[in-house]
Amino acid sequence: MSNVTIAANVKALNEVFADLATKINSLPPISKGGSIGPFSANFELGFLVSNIANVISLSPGGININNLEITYKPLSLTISIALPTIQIGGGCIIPNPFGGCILSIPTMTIIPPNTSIDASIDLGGIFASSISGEFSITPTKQVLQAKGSLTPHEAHATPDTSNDILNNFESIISSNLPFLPSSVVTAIANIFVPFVKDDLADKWLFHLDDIWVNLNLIDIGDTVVNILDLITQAILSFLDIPSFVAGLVEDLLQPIFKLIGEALDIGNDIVNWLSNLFQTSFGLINILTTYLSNVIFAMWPVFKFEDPFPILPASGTLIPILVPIEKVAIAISAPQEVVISANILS
Amino acid sequence: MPLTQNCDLFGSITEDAINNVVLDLQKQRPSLFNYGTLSFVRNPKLLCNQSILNMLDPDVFNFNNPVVSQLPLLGLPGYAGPFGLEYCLQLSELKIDFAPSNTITLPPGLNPPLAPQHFALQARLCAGLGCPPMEVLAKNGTVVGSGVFSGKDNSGLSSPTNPLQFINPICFCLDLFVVLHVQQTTSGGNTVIALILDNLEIPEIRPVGLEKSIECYIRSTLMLGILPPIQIAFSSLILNIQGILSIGPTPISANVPFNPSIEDNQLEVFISLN
Repeated sequence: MSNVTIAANVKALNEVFADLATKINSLPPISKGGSIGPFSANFELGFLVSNIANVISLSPGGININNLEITYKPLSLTISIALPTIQIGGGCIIPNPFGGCILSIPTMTIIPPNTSIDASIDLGGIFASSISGEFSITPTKQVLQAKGSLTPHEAHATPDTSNDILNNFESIISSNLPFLPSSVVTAIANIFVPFVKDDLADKWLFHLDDIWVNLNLIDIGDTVVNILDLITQAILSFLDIPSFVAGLVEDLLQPIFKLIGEALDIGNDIVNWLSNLFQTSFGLINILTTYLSNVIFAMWPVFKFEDPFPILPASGTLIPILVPIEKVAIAISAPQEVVISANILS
Repeated sequence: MPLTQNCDLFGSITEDAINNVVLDLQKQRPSLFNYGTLSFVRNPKLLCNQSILNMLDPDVFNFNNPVVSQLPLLGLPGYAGPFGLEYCLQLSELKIDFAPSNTITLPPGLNPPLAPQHFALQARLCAGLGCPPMEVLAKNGTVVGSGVFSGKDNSGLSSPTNPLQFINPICFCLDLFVVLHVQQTTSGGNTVIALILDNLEIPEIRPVGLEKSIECYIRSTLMLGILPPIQIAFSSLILNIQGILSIGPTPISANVPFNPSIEDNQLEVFISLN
């Protein structure tokens, strides 16, 4: 029997998720650029998570995410071509036999220096994706071979310089995606190693395991709603009306747009319902997404803590107080709560 | 019934878990529980209660951590020389028992078993005095001279720097039992969660007057000195976790009559989102 229990209800889970989404929305967009010869390109990509109210629910098998909407804003691509400087004229028509030129053609600059042609595509706020799925959470204990015979305090104080985690991740990727060359496998594994690599102490890792995932790369309903929103804003800004009237019109139109979006999403909702019913993903993209996310989730823990757990940090030369924690378990009591239990030992 | 029926977050910890944490503390940071003068710091085998030495975590020695926290020598009234007595103090076998009673056998004076929503603490306090042999006292008394006849004012205690030699400390141990409960109350217009002392007892001290006097002294110290600062303002328990979540204790109501609650040998805390 466990001697420590923590329970969180669906409201708490949604609150945490909503606040996390707010943080994600405040992150700066990804901006990258590159050039080859006279060609250069820059893109800017940001994510806005919406529809976060009550996005999480619980089922006997796990935690459900219901139609989480992701709008891509900003989403812009700028392509530039740097044009070479072109000048015409300048030749001599009547040369001077004693040197120089008596009559020359005037020089004309057709394309001045540092001239480029820019083409920008801005699709920010138009396209939206939606994701739904069901996930279970499994706690597992990570014990590194590199720990060897180190005592808990020695392991806690020793940084992990081994390749244990990298080797494990390479094995996960290779077994699931055997067609990938070893250099790519290592490159992918190296992306996830920093999320786990720490010291040599044992750790409890909480991994998500997706039961089914439905990803709509372009969610028709949400995309149409976004387009209608943009059109409305454009018309209202064109009309010279007071801002409170414009706001009122937008507020009145929002429910109608939402209704249209939901009507267009009926097909998607049916797929989600079927996926939930049969506990599997439908569609090639969704099967692939499930497959890939399982590989990612096998490497990336959503939460981790050391075992023994440092309840008091080291103080000067005094060692930290490490408390062994065993029998960590997660139980989902649908539809109310998630219960985490563990045993503190001495 | 769901654990979060009347709150958003629920946490519970049993008395076993707390007692295990205390044991871990004793094993890994023994200097919090063992105090003594230089000889005891250098040679913990002189301590009165040896049981703690047998359970120390090997890393205490691997990392050269102290077993004993050093205390100053004990001065002697009327003596102004450099010598002082050595002594040690130890707190061990610290345990907690949440209602209903099952871990600690309370003495009759504390009216066992524990009442609902109450908890008991038990600790064993050991002390030892490094008593110097007569010849050491005579020798050092001759060397330094007596304060009484030196003509100096030696009414206060000196700050000795040299220990008087001893062979083995004279030891005694006392068991201390305390019964407390947690209560939400009002202090200075604020709702606070306070630890309330119900009673305490140190059995087996004779004469009875000495026992009652010591108990009175500890009770006064606890009620006037130690427990009042432990009062936690309700508002200060509203925490902002990493800027993500704002939480606070669930207010007392018919559904949550006690928060925190002590029952079924565990401490339960009900938390609501703000």
